[in-house]
Amino acid sequence: MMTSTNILIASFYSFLIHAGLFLGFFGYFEQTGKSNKIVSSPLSVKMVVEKNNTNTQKKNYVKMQPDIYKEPVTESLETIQDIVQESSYKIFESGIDSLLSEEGLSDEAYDPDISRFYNSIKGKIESAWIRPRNIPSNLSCDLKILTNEQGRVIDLVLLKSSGNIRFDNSAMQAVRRVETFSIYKEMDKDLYEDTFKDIIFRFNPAK
Amino acid sequence: MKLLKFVLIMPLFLSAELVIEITQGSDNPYRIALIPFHGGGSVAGEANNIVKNDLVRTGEFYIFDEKTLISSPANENEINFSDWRLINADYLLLTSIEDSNSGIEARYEIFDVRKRSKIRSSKVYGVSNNVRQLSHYISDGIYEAITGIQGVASTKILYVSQSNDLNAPYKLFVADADGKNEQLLVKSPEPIISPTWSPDSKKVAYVSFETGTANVYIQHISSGDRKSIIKKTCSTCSTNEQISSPSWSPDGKYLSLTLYQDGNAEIYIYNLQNKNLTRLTNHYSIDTESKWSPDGRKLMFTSGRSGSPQLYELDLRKLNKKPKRLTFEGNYNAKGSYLPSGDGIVFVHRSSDKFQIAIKYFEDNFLIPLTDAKMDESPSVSPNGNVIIYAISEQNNDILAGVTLSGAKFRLPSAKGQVREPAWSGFLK
Repeated sequence: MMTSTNILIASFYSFLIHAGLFLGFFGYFEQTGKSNKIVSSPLSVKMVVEKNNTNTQKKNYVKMQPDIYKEPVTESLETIQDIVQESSYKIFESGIDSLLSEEGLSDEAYDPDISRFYNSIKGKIESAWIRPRNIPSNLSCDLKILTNEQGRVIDLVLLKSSGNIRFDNSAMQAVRRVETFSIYKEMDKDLYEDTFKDIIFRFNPAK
Repeated sequence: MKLLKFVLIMPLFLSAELVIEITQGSDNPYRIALIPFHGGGSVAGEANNIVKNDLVRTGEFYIFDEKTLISSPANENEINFSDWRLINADYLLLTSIEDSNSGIEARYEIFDVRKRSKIRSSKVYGVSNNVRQLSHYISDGIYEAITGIQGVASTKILYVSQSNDLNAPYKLFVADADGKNEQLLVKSPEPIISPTWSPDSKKVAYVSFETGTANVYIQHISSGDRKSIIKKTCSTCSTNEQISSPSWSPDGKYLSLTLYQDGNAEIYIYNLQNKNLTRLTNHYSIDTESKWSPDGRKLMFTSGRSGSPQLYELDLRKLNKKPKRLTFEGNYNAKGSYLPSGDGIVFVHRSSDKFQIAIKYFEDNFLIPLTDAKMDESPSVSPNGNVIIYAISEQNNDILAGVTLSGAKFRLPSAKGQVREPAWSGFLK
């Protein structure tokens, strides 16, 4: 009698263990895990609200904004904020120039005419720039030029120095060497006034 | 995505500035039309050659061959800029020279062909029979007007030569930066090593073995006066007792030296005013070849403390701190000097049995090899930081060569014998 109860108890435990193993194999515990998660996840799903969305985007653009732009942008800042209030695109508040530089004007979405002028100007400067050799690897400098309607460079300002005189000089010489962008003849006046009157060149060979 | 497109086009209405990123560059140097010097006969020809060579040696200019010049304008009014633009000249140089009893008078004008305007015009006066110095001044003026960087054609170099002369095979020379106009400073039957300039470039220091043991001498270039600053007075000194590699502090008050007082090379600082010696390093391996940083706050030296020669830097305001190791590439980096800007160092680097001159910027974690020869040594940097002069050894002949940061290489004419240990002066103006 004693032995059969022992067998009964043993078989009961073995049943429990095997049942547990089977349940584990068929994913019973995982299911319970999942259902547990569902309890909490709707809270985070609710987070996707449009307003918040723009906010997070804005943060991203702020991050992308190169700090050097704090200075040069000041003169056009008022116009930017006017537009921001009119169209309530908060995203522009700080991200405009970073978008310009980060997304690149050569983007396909861009006006083909602009990208043609852009590439022509870029090509001209690139062929005129004698890139100094054997200098530190991570140099970059920014130049701002003012052109007249014929494409002649009438003003040249070093916005941000690279800290290396050879590098800065070579960049300024490149612009002086080009002197006139002949492609401006094909440009209409509005486009000139809007986009190509002032240009910032960023000399950045590291990229 | 729609939003993004809108965002991309929007800036056009904002009259925000366009940013154009330039990542590529060309390799074409500035093209310069040098109209041969007017007047002066033989002087004009000599000046023309010197200026031309000085400009070519910087590696940043291409000078048109005289035969390809389309015209030879005598003055500003005769220049037809469109012609010069056709042959893609960037700058046009008008020069003239007049040699008279009272001296030489030269004049140069630099025109920017694209701007169609004069960017510099200058008159240079010099004593007669010194066309060379005058021409170097002109080259420096041209280089500075075009690149914005001070030229080094009128600076000097110091070097040691060893010839077959039985009485005095070892000689210390000073010469123009192009290797010409060699002048003897001292000659000795015993070796002369480690020549170096004072910060004002009026004195030189070197180690001479003329008395049988090593002594450091300071010599005035113009007067030739010299004195020995550290004499071995100890009686127990062995014969291989040595002093080497003096280096002047930027303020001219101290000299750093390598002394072998306890049989091992260590770096010391010698105060030129009160003649005190201060020991800086204390390590059982060799510490030598010290050089001051341009701001005078640090001292770089070669040390074998890691098992192979490497460059270390000592902060002179924190002497109890361990020296900072500067080089990690390969198993030999030695004979370092700082760039005048203080943002990097130039040194001898060994890679696979080749000793080459390399440059390393402090903010980069890699070095850039500048030369590709088998035995390059003793680099010395020009005061504008653009040129490095060094000693090379080819076919059992030691001569001096130079490399510019723009990549141009040149050789200095070696008078006679073996030439080594070049040291570049500061600006002399």
